[in-house]
Amino acid sequence: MTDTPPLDVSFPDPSATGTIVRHPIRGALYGLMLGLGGAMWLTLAGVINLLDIVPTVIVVVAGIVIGILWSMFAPAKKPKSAGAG
Amino acid sequence: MRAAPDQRTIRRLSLGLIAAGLALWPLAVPAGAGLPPDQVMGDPPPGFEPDFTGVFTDAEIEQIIEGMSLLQLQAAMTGDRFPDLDNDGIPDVPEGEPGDLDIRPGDQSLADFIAVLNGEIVGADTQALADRAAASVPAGQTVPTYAETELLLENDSSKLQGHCAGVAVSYDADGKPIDAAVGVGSTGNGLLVDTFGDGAGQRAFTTDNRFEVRSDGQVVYFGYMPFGGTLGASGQDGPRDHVWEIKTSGVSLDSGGDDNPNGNNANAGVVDMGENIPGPLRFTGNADVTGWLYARTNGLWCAAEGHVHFGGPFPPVAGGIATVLAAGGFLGLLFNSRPALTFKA
Repeated sequence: MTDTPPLDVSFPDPSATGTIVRHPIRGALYGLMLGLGGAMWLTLAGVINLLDIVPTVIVVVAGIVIGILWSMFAPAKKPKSAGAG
Repeated sequence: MRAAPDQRTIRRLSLGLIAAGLALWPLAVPAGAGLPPDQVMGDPPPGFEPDFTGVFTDAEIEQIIEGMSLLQLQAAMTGDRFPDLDNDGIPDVPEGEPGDLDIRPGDQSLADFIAVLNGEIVGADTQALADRAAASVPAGQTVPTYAETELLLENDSSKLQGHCAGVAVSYDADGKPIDAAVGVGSTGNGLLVDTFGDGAGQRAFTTDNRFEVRSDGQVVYFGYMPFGGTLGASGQDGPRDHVWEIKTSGVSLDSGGDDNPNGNNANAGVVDMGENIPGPLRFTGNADVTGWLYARTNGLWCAAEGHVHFGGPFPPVAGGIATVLAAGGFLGLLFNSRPALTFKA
């Protein structure tokens, strides 16, 4: 038999209160990256015409909005120490 | 300028295909051809939108290929303005012939060009040109302005209007023809017709049948203005003191002009994207292209609108940047932007 190392699991203080921290700025920046990359791909694929500003801006803004909404309303991550692994 | 051997081969073939396109003009323009320029002005009738699918029969398409041997037309086109650069007895199409007003890399800009167009002269050279042009415009002639010329391009398919005609042939990086189109302005039906490759016989430059261009290939063009004069001749009634511009999605790609003192009524050249666009900067995609030319002296004009697809190998830099941005943004949203639940004692 081999010794099993003790499982490092900790639980929050039962008296602690949960707080959800949101990152809208971070979400907007990642959304901007997603929008820019998506707009470039759509252009290379011929969905958006080359140098066509309006649809390009729409896709980029949509990416930013998606990023902000995701950062505000997505299911919250639990603290790593609260899970079983 | 002496061309590389492979390019010379391409240009000889181009001349043959251009001649083939010329041979098909009478088929595309049964009426109006050969009339004096002052009798063939005007736009197509309002609502003129015929279905030109299948306008050419298979036999006529074959005629395009056979047209490669139309040496007489080649000779008529080339004349003394397309010299035999390599002394092999075959005229070579030059790499474009820039006009006096063409904006070259490093030039000031489009603002100067627009100023010339609007009569707001900004330099001594253009002043002399404008004075000569203004003095020669007939009294009472309506001169379309820049904005009015743009209004001609209101159709979302394709169109060629004005006193002009032309042929464009697109080649891949190996010099094989992949697409070709012929168009005649309002002297005919104003349509651009596909004469080679996919969609041959159908209306060309439409969103359903875009003109195929390879970002590592070449496009050979031949333009003729006014349609109905002596083919390729100098000293004719060509567009004197003309200005032109090409745009995509409202953004100016190139512009220029020339006083054309000899009245040349034809020009040809090669747009060599494989040579001019470095490999890492190549791209793919669709573009809506518009262009116009206006001769200040004799009022000749030409306006065109069409849809182009730039194909070619996967663009490594543009595709790589797009992938990194999209993947980085997606992963960042997934793992680094979600709301986080924290506990406070």
